[in-house]
Amino acid sequence: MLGPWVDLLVFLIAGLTFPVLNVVLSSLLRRDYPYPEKVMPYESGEDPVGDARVRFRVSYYVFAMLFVVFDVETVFLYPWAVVLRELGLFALIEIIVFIGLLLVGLYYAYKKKVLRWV
Amino acid sequence: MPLPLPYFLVLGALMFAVGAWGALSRSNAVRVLMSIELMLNAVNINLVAFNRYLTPSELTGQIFSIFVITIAAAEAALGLAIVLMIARRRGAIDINKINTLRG
Amino acid sequence: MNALGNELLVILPEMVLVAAGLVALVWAQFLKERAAGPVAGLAAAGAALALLSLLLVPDGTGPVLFGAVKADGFSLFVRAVLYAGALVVVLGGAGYVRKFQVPVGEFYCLLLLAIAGGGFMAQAANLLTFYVGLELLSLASYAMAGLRLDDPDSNEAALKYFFNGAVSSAVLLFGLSWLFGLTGTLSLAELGPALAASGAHPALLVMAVTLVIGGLGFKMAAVPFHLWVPDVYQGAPTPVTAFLSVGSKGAALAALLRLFYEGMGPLADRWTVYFAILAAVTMTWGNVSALLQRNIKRMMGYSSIAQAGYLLVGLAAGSDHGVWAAVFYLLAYTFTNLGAFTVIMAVRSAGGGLDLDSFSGLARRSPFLAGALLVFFLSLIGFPFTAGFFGKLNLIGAAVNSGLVWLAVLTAINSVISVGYYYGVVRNMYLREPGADLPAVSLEGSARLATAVALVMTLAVGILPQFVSWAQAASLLP
Repeated sequence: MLGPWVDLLVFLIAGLTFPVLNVVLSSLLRRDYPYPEKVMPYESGEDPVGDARVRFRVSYYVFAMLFVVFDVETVFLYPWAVVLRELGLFALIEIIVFIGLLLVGLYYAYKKKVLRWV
Repeated sequence: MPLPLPYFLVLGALMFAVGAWGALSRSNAVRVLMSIELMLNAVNINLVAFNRYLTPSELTGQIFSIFVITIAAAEAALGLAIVLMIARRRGAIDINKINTLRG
Repeated sequence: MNALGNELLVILPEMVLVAAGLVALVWAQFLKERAAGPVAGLAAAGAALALLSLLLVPDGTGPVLFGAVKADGFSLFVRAVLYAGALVVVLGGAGYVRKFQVPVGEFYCLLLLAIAGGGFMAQAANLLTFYVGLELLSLASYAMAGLRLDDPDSNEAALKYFFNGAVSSAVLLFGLSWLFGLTGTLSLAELGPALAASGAHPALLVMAVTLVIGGLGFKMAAVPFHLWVPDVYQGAPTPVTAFLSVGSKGAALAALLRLFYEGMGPLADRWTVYFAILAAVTMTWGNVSALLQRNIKRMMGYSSIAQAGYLLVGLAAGSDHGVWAAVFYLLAYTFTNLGAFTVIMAVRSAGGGLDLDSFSGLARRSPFLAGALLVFFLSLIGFPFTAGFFGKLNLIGAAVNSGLVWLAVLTAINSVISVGYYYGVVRNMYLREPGADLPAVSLEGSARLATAVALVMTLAVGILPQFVSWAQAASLLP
C-alpha cells in the first residue's frame, strides 16, 4: 500500500540516523578535554577576528559573476559531449561558435581590467 | 510504481507561489532576486515532470529547462550588477526607498 | 550540409546583428574616448546590413533549423520594421550618446543584441526560440536602461525595469510550462490542434493563457501591466526609451500574434474577448493618464501605452485582416514614434530640459524640428495623409469586420482624447515665445538623417498604397 513511499521513508530514516549516530558515538568514546584553541571556530588556520557578518569585497562579486558564465557553459557542453559522435561536424562548429561568443565576453572583462585583483 | 504527476505539479505550483509572494512582498533587493530564482526553478520542476510523464521518449522539456537554468543565471548576474550599482551610489538596497521617479 | 547552409541563411540578419554588436563592444575598448563616432557608424552599418540581408532569406513557410525558426512573410515584415527602427535609433541617438557620455560599446552592443532577440521572437516556430529571444531582448533592455551609470534616475529605471521584468517573465514562463504540459509539444504549429484535442480541464488552459498574456502584456506595456512604463521611460537614457517604445512593443506584438493567432487560431473565439478588453482598457487608460503629464518622456510613455492598446485591437479582431492591420500599424507607429523621440533627443542634447516648457517657441528656434514633431504628432493622433491615419483606419475596419463595433468606436474616441496632450506640446512650440534661457537647437548630420527618414516614411506610409499590400502579404497563415 505504501508503495513508492517506502523508499522515501527508508532514505529519511537512514539520513537521520547516520549523522546522529556518529555524533553520539564519538561523544561517548572520546576524552572530554577542551582548551581555548580547540573550541575556536576553524577558519583555515587563520585567527578568527570579529563578527562573521562582515562586508565582502566587491571584487569577489565580479569573480563570482565570471564564474557563473563558465559554470553554466558546462550545462551545454556536457550534453553535447555525450552525443558528440552522433551529431558530427555541424554540432562541433556550433559549439566552437558558442565558446567563441563567451570568449568575446571574457576578453571584454579582461580589457575592463576585471580580472586583475586590486 | 513512481509518484503520480500531480505531486510534482503541486510542488511546482507551491514553489512558484512562495517565490511570487517573496518577490512581491520583500523589500530587500537580494531577497527579491532569490525569490525570482525560486519562481524559475518551479518552472523547471514543471517542465521536467511534464517531460517525464507526457513525452518520455523526447527530451523537449528537459532541454527547455537547461535553457531556463542558463537564462536564470544570466538574469541573476545582471540583477546583482544593477543592485550593486545602486548600493554603491546610495548605500542601501531597500527597493521601497528608491522612488525618486514619480509623477 | 548545403541544405543546412540554406537554412542558416534564415537567421543571417540576426548573425549580422550579433557579430556587429560584439565587434562594437570590443572595438570601443580600443578606441576609448574616440569611440563614439566610429562605433555608432559600425552599429548603423550593422543594422543596415541586417536589413539588407533580409533580402537573402530564402522564402519558405515551414520551420527550419530543427524546427526553431520560420521564414514566412510575417517574420520578414516584422524583422524589417524592427531593424529599420534600430537603424533610426542608432542614427538619432548618436548625438545624445556622445553628449551624455553613455558607454559607447556597451550601448550599441546591447542595442543590437536586443533587436536580434526581437527578431528571433518574430520568427519563432516553437516556444523555446520564442522564450530565448524574449530574454535576449529583455536582459539587454534592463542593462541599457541603467547605462548612464552616474545618473540616479537611470539607475532607478534599471532597478525597477529589472525587477518588474524578471517577475513578469517568470510568470510568462510558468504559463509556457503549462502550455507544454497541456499539449506535450513546444512547436507552435502543433499547439493549436493539440489543445483542441486535449481533454484537460478548460480552467487549466485559461490559467496558462492568462499567465502568458500577463508576461507579454508587460513587454507590450498593456494596462494593467504598465506600471513600470512611466518611471522607466523617464529615467532611462532617451535613445533607450525610444528603443523600448518600439522594439519591445513590436517584438511582443509579433510574439502575441504568433502564439495566439498562429498557435491557437482554432480557439480564437475563446481568447479574442480577453484582447478586446485589454485593448479597450489600455488605450483609454494610457490616453487619459497622458493628459496629466508635465514631463515629455512620461507623456510619451503613456502615449506609447495607448498605442499598445491600438495595436491590440488587431489581435482582438482575431482575423487575417486584424493581423495585417496590426503589423501595418506597427510599421506606421515605429517610424512615427522614433521620429518624435529623435526630435526630443535633439532638443535635450542642445541643452534643453524634458518638461513640456522646454519646447516653448521651438518653431522659432528650429523650424525644421518643430515641423517634423508636428507631423509625427499628427500621425500619432491619426490625422489623414499620415501613416497613423491608415494604420488606425485598417484597425478600425478589422474590428468592425469581426463584429467589435464598440471597440472600433472606442478607438476613434481615444484618438480624439489624444489630441489633448499632443496639442499641449504643439501650442508650446508654435504659440509660445521661447524663454530667454532656452538654447537654439542645431541638428547633427546623423540626427537630421534620422528625422528625415522618419518623416519621409511617416508620409510615404500614409500616402503610398504599396505598404498596405506589403503588410497584407505578411499574413500568418500559409
